[in-house]
Amino acid sequence: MKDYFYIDYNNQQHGPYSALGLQDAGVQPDMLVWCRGMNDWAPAGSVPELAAFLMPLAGRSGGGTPPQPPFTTVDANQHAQNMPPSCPDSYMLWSIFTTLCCCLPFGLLALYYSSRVTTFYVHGYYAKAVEQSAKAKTWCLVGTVIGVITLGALSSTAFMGFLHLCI
Amino acid sequence: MKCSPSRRLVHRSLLVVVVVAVLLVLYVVSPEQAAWLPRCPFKVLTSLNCPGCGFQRAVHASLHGQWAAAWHYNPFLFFALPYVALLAVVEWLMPEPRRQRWRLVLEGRTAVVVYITLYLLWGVVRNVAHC
Repeated sequence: MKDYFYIDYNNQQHGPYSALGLQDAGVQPDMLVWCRGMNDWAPAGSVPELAAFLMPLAGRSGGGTPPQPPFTTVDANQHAQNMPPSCPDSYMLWSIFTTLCCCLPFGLLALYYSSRVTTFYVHGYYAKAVEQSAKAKTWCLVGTVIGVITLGALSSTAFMGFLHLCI
Repeated sequence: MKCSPSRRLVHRSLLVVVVVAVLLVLYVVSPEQAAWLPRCPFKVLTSLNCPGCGFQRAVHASLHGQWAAAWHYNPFLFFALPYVALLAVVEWLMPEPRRQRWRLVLEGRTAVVVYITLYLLWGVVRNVAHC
């Protein structure tokens, strides 16, 4: 039995459901669905298994760009069966910028996580890759914010000191 | 949560604009003379040179063709900045099958270990040697 995910008219992703579960959930033929083995999201009405029993309502179209198809399990064996989503952003550029211009220690930490994103992705551990990507982004953000705040604090002190000298 | 392609394009365009603006400022203004340019927090707090110190002066010198001076301010940048430029090209401009292979090399463990090692070595050396 295949597990389907669908996107409703508010661009919210739901699932997994069986094909029958989709019908119970009121999925419309123009809603996007995805299951393992499909290259990308497709309208439910275009999927032969589903089209047969989906009942159309007066049409509204879902807007926006659908999110990437989900991976329910992190398993290198199943990699071959799936069309994998694209590699998550590694934030390498931002990490290096953080090490050079903002905040040394957090930049190095971010760089560590950035380096693991592509490696995990290529070995099929997509969920792990996404996790490393999120961590890299977090530490880049922390480093940049701390760098800016420190810079601001120092600049204002210098500026205030400078004012003092003038007055 | 992923950005839509158009939003990503906006982010990158903004980034390019900011980089160009910074380059313009650094071309016109000499960091040694302008007190309002940001100073390195690490250096102010510890009075040690962080690996990135001299970034602005090096860029200013490079923009005016004074490569020897630029090298003097921060030689590590001559490795780091081309690396960054290469990363940007690979991440933003390369088409998919090639992009993945390049990313694997440029962003893999070996490349990052090399970068971090050189970065830390340089951080130590510059403070010890120029004492």
